Amino acid sequence: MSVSSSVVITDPLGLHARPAAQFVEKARTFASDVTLDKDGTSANCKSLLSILKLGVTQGTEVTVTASGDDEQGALDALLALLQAEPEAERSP
Amino acid sequence: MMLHGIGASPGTAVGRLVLLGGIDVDMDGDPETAAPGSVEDSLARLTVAIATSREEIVAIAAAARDRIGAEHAAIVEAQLLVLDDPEWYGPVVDAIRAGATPTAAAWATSQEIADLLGSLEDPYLRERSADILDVGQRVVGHLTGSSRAEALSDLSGDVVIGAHELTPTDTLGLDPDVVRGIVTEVGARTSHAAILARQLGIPAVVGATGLLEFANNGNLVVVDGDAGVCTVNPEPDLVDRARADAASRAGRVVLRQTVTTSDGIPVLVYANASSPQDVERAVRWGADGIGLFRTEFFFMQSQSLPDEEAQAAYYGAAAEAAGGRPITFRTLDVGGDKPVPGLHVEAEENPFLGVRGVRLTLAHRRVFDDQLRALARTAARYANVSVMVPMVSGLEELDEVRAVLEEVAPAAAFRFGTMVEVPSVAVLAAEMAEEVDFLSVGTNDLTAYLLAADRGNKHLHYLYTEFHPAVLRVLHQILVGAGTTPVSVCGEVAGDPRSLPLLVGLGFRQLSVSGPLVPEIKARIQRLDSVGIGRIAESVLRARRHADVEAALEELSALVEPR
Repeated sequence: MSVSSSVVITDPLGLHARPAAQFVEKARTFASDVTLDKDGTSANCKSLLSILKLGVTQGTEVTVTASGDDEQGALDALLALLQAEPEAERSP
Repeated sequence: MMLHGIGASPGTAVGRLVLLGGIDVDMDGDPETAAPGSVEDSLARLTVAIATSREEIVAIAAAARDRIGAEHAAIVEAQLLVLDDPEWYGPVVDAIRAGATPTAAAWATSQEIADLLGSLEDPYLRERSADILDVGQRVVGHLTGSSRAEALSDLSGDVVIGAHELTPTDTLGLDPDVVRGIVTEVGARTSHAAILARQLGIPAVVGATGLLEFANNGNLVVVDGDAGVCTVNPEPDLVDRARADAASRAGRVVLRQTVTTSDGIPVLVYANASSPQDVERAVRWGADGIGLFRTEFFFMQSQSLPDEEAQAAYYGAAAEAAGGRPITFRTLDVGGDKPVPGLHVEAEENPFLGVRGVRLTLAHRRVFDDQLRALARTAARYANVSVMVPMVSGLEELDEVRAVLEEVAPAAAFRFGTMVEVPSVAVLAAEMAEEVDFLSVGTNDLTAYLLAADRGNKHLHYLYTEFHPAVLRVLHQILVGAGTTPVSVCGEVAGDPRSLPLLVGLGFRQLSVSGPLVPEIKARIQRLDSVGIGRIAESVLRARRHADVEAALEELSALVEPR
């Protein structure tokens, strides 16, 4: 079994070095295997290097897939991080 | 033999050269190269090397936090993630199982990943590439028994560290009580190692091509961090002069009071800072205040954009550390070349002529609004807070900033000023001065823009100089245009000992320099006679060629520092 969900990256910085480090640290708190897929390429969410190499920029659609005992919790937590409201222009 | 590079941290140092092995590996250092062990033995050695490396990195980060601040420690802590990264650890283990020695496996994997990240366009990822080599080298060092950390921890006497390149952890691990100077073959003034060297007050020359070819371990070397020259096996008289210079700087009495020239003209000596820790140190060096607090470092080292609350706390800590002395915060000064987490800045073909400084903050209102609100809160709690905006090129931008201020912080109690670094603003100095509380001249950028020359470009060293007749004339025009509006100089020209009499002679009465230079600059000001140097400064304004300026500088040196 596994759960997955797609999301479009809104952070203008993409999934960049420091956000990526946070993302990886979060992923490592779960026992499930978690992957991030972009255009058919898959990255291990528990590897900073793997995530960095994926080159996720703003506007990219990615799919998070979690598989394991705590898969739903892992999916929810990582999606929440990816969807966290980044810098946006304040409406006047 | 003189090696010419870039002065990355001011001051003079004399010492015996200790060359660090390159970021390269001596496979013979690994006993398994000659006598391969079992896979199990190899993996066990790898595990020990990784654990030792982890302990070291944690210790370096902790020391960095105490000595220079949490921002610098975060960079090192990121390296911990690499040590147990399956993309690094996995291939290393696979290679060992396939018969490679742990050293070869760890190094090849690190290099491969670093090459891959280094080839990407992104400045962030290129930085990570250096981190991965740093980590790989540390692990390999423990496997081969040639650890740079050990080489660095076991030093005595006066030492100058030489290397092809210093990694961030190398620099953080230096003991300022032993290491008198740094010289590297590559690197830039903006590289992390250079910034740290300045914070630690260690004179440094980077980009000294030929160092590893011409110098050997144990050679006596003189590092001139002002001129950017490293002399290997120097003549005895150069050594004497350098020792005298280094000793006089080291033994400099900290002057806490405001100093005056020998004929009684007060000159304020402020320090530049990037963190509350910098401010604390500057106060200890006897700075009269903080002339430039660079807010971008806080942004660059945060995980995401710091909000108003976080910024208010940070600026408050800086103002608190200033202890009532004036402190001038510069609003976010970044462009396409300086990435900030959470703030997307498009890569530009020409970032120095692109969207940076106030141009960028006006285009990212949420970021600017939060910062201005945080600064307004700081000014409400602390006296003597000023705020200035960088990269202004005309009055229109000041109008816009004022409109933003009116909207988000109408009661802001800080003094408001502008940087003068774009030549158009230097030309309009009189008009600008009428509309702000103060001007602050950023001589580095102003010089670069006036001469269309990048100071980091080794091929343009002959061109990039704050002593160009045009630069000096423009400095004079800014001062004349400003009239009674205070003008400070916060570029590093104020940190170049040769330029001090010239700046004071031209009429500048407020300088902002790197913290460790404050005692030196104050002591020198007390020996200046403003009338004599004023006369020579006047003649400099008539200079037609750089050589004319140099001649006048010679005359000035003879006048103020008879040797």
